[in-house]
Amino acid sequence: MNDEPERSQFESRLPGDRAYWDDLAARVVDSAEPILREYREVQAWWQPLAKWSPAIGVAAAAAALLVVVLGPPAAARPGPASLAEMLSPEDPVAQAVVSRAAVPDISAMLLVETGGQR
Amino acid sequence: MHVDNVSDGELVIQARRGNGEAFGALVRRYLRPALAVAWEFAPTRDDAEDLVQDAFHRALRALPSFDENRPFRPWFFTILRNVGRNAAERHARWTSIPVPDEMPADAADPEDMAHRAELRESIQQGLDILPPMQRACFRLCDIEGFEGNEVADMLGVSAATVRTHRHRARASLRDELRHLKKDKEA
Repeated sequence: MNDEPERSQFESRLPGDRAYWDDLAARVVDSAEPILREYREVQAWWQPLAKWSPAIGVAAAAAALLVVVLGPPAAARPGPASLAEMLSPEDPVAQAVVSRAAVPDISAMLLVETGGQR
Repeated sequence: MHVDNVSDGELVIQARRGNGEAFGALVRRYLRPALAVAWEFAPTRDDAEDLVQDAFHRALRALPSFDENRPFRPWFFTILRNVGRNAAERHARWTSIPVPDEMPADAADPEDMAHRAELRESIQQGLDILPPMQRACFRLCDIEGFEGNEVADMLGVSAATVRTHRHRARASLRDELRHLKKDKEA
């Protein structure tokens, strides 16, 4: 018995025949078919969209450009509304606040609707 | 699709689209080393085949998140080792690896057959007492003939680590065989 562990002393436990590996590969691939089918279905759903995606992209870019070019000029756009414009004209409390130079007294605001009379 | 010269990355892209031929090519490319590694975790070839199948399915499911520009082999073998470890934890009986009982077909002479059987048993005894990583490195490199860097990817360690484990395994086996020889002579 040789006391050196040479490679010739050992035998591979992996099968050597090609048919075995072909069968095992087929078994692995066949059993993976449900996963592969899922991927194909997702692909089938996305593919038509992907086909048109350049055209959709160009159209979206053109539309954005048109909005910028054909939109109203800056001068024609209304400026910010004043505080008084934003308030309802029917709101006496708000008018009291806006129309006076000084901050109104709280009681004046409460009684403004009745002209300060109970 | 001719797949022999196609890169792993391209096969991954095709397999992600559900191309069975591309997935089959990946399977065939890594099947032999995969079975060798799986067998380090499983007691029988049948069990190892189940691990391999499970690992390839998990890899296929994970393909959408895999960057095809990165190497496929280390990624796949990480999955396989995880599958093997989990299975070994579930099956307590997988802790020991049995002695293969097949006899070589060319050993026709009864004396030669007996000698070879004795030798194989001695070697198996020597292998069984090795730490798992030493045994795996030795078996994959010295028995199954895989390259050191290939085994490094398969086991998730560096090539230097593989070399170290092989060296230690060979020294241990040498001592074990010497010991057995002395016992026999005595």
